[in-house]
Amino acid sequence: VKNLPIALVFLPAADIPTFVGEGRVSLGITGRDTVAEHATGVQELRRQRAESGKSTPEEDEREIGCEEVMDLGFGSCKLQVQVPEKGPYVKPSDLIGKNIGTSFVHLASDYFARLEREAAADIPNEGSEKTTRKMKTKIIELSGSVEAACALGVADGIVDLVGK
Amino acid sequence: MMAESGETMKAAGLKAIDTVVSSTAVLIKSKAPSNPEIVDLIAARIRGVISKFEMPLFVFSLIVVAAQKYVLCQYNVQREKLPEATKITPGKRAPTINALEEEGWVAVSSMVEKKVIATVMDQLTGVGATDILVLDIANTRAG
Repeated sequence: VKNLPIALVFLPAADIPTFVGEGRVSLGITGRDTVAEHATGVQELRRQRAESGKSTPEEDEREIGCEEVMDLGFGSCKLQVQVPEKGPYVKPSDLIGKNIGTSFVHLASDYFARLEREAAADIPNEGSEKTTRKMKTKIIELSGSVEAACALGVADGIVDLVGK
Repeated sequence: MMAESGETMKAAGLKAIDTVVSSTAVLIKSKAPSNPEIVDLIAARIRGVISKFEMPLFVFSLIVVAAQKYVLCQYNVQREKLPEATKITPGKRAPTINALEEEGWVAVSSMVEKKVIATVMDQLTGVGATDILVLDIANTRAG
């Protein structure tokens, strides 16, 4: 770039939050979905490390992560829960305990963990925190062609992007 | 990652029953950037382009196609800041200064070399200039 001491780097959209979050790259342009996926993953990792007592206080204090500066107004899409049109599932909670194919494992886990907590809260005696620690829904990581997972019998439902 | 569309979903015999996240392209910054001033500067520049046009990617490609050497830069500034501002935009002969209806404010128009306009805009913002406009010059005899 001519009039500023900066370098432009092209990286895969899903990796950009990692590079920016680590502070090695200062600014990035990517989808809000990938930023949310990354942030959820980092939180999950921190929680696991805190629980296993492996993380040191210094590590936790180090400021990592990304923050959104502005909406650029293009490339809009939705990360949606999808099921076979002619299948037995009509609402998200029908998928609890089933197999879910997705490229967004952290967001999908977070989503179904919340659904499971809500469902458990509706049934007395099961509403305690302990019963919800282990997730019943199985999240299957797929890197592409996620929409084929249901037809091929790998998943009962998927969490995937739909463009607008 | 963005291979999926509504068409693909229907073709695969699927229907959406809930939305986890609504997404668009966003500008993100590191919570601990190595150079905060430049980060804010670039963010301000991108905001300048985004707020003016619908399709930023298209505009970026237009910017690359630089046609003329000069652009016309106009802005409002408080009269007391005028010496600093005109040092940044001295113009070809001298800057044109017009009084504004508002007490203590003037409007400045000045030709600026296109290759330095981004830096000039940043500097003008720095001395308190507002409503900075950059206009293409369609034709000129200004040598």
